[in-house]
Amino acid sequence: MSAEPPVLEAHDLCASYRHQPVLHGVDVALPKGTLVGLLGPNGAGKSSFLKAVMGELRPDSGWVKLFGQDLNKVRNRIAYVPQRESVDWDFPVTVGDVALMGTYGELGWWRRAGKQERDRAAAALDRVGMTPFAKRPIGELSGGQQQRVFLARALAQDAELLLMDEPFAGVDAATEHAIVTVLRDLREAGRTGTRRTSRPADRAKVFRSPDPAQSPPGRLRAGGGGLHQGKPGSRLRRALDPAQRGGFQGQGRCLIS
Amino acid sequence: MMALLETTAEKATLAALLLGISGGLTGVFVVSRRMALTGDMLSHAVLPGVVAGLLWSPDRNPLVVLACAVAAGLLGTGLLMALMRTTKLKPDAALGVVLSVFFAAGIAMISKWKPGGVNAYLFGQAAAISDADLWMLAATTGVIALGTTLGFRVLTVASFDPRHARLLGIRVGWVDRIFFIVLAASVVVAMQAVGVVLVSALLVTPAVAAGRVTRDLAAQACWACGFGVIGSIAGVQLSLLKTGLPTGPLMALSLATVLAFAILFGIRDGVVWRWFRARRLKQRIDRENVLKAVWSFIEDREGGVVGLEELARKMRENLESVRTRGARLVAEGEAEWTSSGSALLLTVPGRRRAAEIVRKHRLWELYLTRRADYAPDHVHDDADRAEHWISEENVRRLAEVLENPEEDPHGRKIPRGTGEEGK
Repeated sequence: MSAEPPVLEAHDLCASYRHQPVLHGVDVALPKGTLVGLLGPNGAGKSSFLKAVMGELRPDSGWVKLFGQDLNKVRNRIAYVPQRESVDWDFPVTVGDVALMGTYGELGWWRRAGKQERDRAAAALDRVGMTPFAKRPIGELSGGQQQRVFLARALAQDAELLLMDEPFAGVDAATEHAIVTVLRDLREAGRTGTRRTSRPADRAKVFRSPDPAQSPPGRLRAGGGGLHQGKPGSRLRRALDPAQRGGFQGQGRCLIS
Repeated sequence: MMALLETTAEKATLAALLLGISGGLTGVFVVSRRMALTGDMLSHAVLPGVVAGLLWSPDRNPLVVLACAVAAGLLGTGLLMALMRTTKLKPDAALGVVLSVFFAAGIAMISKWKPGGVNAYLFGQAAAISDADLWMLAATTGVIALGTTLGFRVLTVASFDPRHARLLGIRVGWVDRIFFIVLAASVVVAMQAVGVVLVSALLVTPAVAAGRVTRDLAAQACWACGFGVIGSIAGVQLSLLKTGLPTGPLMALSLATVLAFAILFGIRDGVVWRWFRARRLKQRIDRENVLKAVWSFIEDREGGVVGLEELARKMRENLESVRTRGARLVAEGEAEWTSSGSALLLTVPGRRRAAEIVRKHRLWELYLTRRADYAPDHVHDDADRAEHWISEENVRRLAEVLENPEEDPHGRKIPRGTGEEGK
């Protein structure tokens, strides 16, 4: 195998909220250039897995490595597109501001955004077709447009791993098309993406590799033993079990690497 | 004696200026982070710290008082967070609990030890601010101005989307902590001017007013500073004029007046502008309806003159009302009175406008009957509404889709919208 480490690798990842296990023995290795959906019913642990990847949920055991390294060393190589409900849409920022926020990582504390950063933000907005709205406050956008703005922020960040939480929830056809196109392009360019969605497999199949032989060697599955029947963690396992669902690519949350 | 009075007035004005800036700058972030009540909580929570500081330093060294007060404020904030984490209490409920506990402790301490100078913090004393306090206020304002300017971007990202901020490598926890310290400091200095209960006036009111003017955070910060400065200086000046009235409440009332103006005349969503827009829209629709009625006479008549009486019958209005409306058309240059003054004659722009409206109306009727399967006698009311809203672009598309029809479902001619018919 190549010397390049997987973009996202987790081994025997277990995590819980207040002694309630949500992730149980998750094993996953995503190579570069893959687009992965994480599917599962509510409470299956899809969001928790993303939180564990971003270091917001401390694992009880097991580990997550990104680009073969600890999260803290590679933070800026990861972009996150939040679930729409988790954003304060009354916050006084414009569409252009949000896109520009993607470039803040390199700017540090004090330096002002220069022409280069603004160009990158503008190009990102253009890619998702939101240029005409650059001066609008984010609160004035429709649901699909809001989602596209945050995708633009991730694009401006130029990250190598894109994590999306429920990107297609309540989104119009134009936006879905825009997102899918961008994600496909990213995959061609060798980025990795994870999408989380609770929509059924008809969405996720869009991201399935056309040929099983091309599908990435990585697997996302729960390890054996010690499952809590009926607890959310077990559902994630079922949802992610390749034997039961025909491979994790058919699942609903998606990572692009 | 006069000289002394003058300096007091000047000092109070300078204090008001500084308070306006510090309150406006922190307030914008407080409001955009939905923490408006936290400012109120802090002003109560710092009280035990203020009392402790005054007892510790009997000569009222403002730095000691400020440090103790900020410490108490942070203790209160910490308790608030712990309470919310462990009990899943909603923020407003937790705020209420912490606020009352700390304030009660402060009041109990005051009754027990009766520290000198505590009244300034309880009720505010902007008009009699000491030199030391003024220096403290200037330093705090300087730190706030510098911090919010330099850290503006970091603070914005951390406030707007903490998760994204963390991925960018920003230590959100520390940003929040520093923000709380600065906020507590600005609350303490504001307290000295307006008293515990009116701190929100300096912190929240200018920021809310700024929100009525612009949706851009940086611009809001500037506006909030301006509003804060205007309101607080006005308050000080008013209290200097009418010596009977205290400064704090007058500042709060002046700031509220500024807010009232912003709500009425705010560029973004001012009530007054909204009213004007609604009125203009109503007048436009009304004029278009008259033009349409006039058209129905002149489309098959030589000369194009329409008498007011026949127009009134057609529109089912009395003669006077039709005369007023006709006068509006004349004022807009869309019609002229005949020499007798009892009939209207459309001008060229008026004719074009009338033809456009009728064209929209009839095209829409045709579209509904042909494409949406409506019966011809069911489409008139809908077209009466749609004719005022259909855009030029949509008219073009409608005509295209319907293959440039000549007649509407009732067999009447669809004008080409150039106004050449009905001359």
